[in-house]
Amino acid sequence: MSRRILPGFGLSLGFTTAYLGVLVLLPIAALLAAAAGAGWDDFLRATTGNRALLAYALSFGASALAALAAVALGFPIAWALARYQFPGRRLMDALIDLPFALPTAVAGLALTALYTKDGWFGSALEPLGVKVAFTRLGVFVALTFIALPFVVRTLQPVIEELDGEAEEASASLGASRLTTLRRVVLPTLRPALVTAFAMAFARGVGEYGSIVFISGNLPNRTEIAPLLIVTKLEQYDYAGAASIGALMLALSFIFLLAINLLQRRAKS
Amino acid sequence: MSISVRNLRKTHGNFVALDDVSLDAPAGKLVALLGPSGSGKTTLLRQIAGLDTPDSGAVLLNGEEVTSLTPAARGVGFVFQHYALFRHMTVAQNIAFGLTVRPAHRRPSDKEIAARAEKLLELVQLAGLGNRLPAQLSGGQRQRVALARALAVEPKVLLLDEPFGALDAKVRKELRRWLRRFHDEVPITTLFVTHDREEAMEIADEIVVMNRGRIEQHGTPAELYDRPATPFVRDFLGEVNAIAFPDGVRHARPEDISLDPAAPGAAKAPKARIIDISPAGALTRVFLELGADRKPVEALITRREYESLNLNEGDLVPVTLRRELRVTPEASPFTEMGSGI
Repeated sequence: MSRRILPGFGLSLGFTTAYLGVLVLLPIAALLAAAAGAGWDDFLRATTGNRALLAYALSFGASALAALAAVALGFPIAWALARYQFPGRRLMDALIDLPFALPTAVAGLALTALYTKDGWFGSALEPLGVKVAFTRLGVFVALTFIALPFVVRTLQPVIEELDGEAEEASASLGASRLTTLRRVVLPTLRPALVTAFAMAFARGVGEYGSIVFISGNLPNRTEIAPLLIVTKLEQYDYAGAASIGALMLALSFIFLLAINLLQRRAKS
Repeated sequence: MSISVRNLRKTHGNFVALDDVSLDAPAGKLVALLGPSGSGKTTLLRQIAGLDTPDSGAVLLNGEEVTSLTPAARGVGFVFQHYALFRHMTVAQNIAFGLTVRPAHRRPSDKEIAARAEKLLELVQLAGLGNRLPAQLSGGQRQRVALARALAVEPKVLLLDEPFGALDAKVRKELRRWLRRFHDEVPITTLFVTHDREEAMEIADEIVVMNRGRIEQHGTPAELYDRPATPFVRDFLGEVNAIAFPDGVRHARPEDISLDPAAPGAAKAPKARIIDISPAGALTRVFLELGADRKPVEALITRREYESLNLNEGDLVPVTLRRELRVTPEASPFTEMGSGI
């Protein structure tokens, strides 16, 4: 190995391995061990029941949709914050981070209060026949709320680094604004957009606190997979809870790996 | 196609970037916008391209007002100092971009587009590099891709913003000669911004000197060098000596100063002491100090003259002018429309 200007390869590799081992791999191993303790039949029963399958579908489906929505909403916000000077910009910039700091249960309570039929939004949507609180739509709304800051904070620095001259070049070559956005801006931002989606999605799959209030937790309808785990724990079914946990872990890993591979292909 | 600008004004807060600028660049000419940084030359170029909107005034292309048109509708090719290539596209895709974004009824077929891109690559001497990404090219190559990209849409005029500013000295020199030859082959009206007077003098048909948001003078390189209209142009276009004679201060370029004791008027001329001689190259540079206040004077003489005069450091020599450099406001035929004087 050649000499580097900055030493510390051994130190940083050792630290990284130790960190991953103790804080990430060990708990995962424990989870898998607990799931394995259940035995194959119990594992299948816990993870493949109708109720469980619907819960996975809701967790992953709503997370994916919410991540898409958060990217769609977060992109213009990040663009405005990165590109323009306007009164209140700093305040807005600080407000973006609020969902990071807010206990998710508080966010869930606030959203529920807004969207029940007596709430500000709920009372306005009720006549239109749109119900948000205690429906799957509510799960989607809460997940979008939670995911938004991840998207904005991922995109903002990349947009700030963006070369504004490329957009001007595009305009001078005859491209309309929409064409410039589609053919020049978005392709340059694609890696950041995929990363933002992945982060928002991962956060959504693991989200619990904000969902339990707004979803109403109706089995087979608005029950998310993490809630199912908690329910199993409350029934002292540790093996069942660990089984569902292990499956969630495997699915999440597969999805994130797929996104990463997609990212790498997009780059090359 | 000619470029005209009428009474253009542009302010950024309290800063006046363009102060009532009027200019005519005749069709087919290569015109340099020359000035120090902050003089408003890039701002002017951006108004012409439509990348910026003036506070007041008009931009005309071939006599037609385009002030309210978008950059896309003006038909100008713009080349940026830092190339502004689309880094996710190949060189060929970059060049073809302006053709591929056209609405379907005006867009050539894919085959034609590919052929056009190939032809342009040859024109800018980059044949065979169409599949590279911009990041795999050198600075000079990237700038030529940017030029080919701008030319692909067959613009009416070409606007170049410090096109060689980001390149190293050698590539810069090669590329500016190449641009001159290129313009001779493809005589499209071209306006290019530079702060390098040598660059402007070497390749431009006409030079527009800008200072503090105003046009100081507009003329051919020789006119500006020999008959500057303002003291600013005199000092900016080349080195100049201010020498105090008994009847007043006179100016001269270093090559117009004679140190020959046999020159006419040398007997009564003021005397200067030689403090340094740099004889390298075809011309010899002599640094002198004149009078009690030791005012610096610089003379540029031929090597032969230097040898025959037998000059040495510390010598006291007479300073005469072969030719005096006078500021002549009426000198340039362009002055009237150039700066409204």
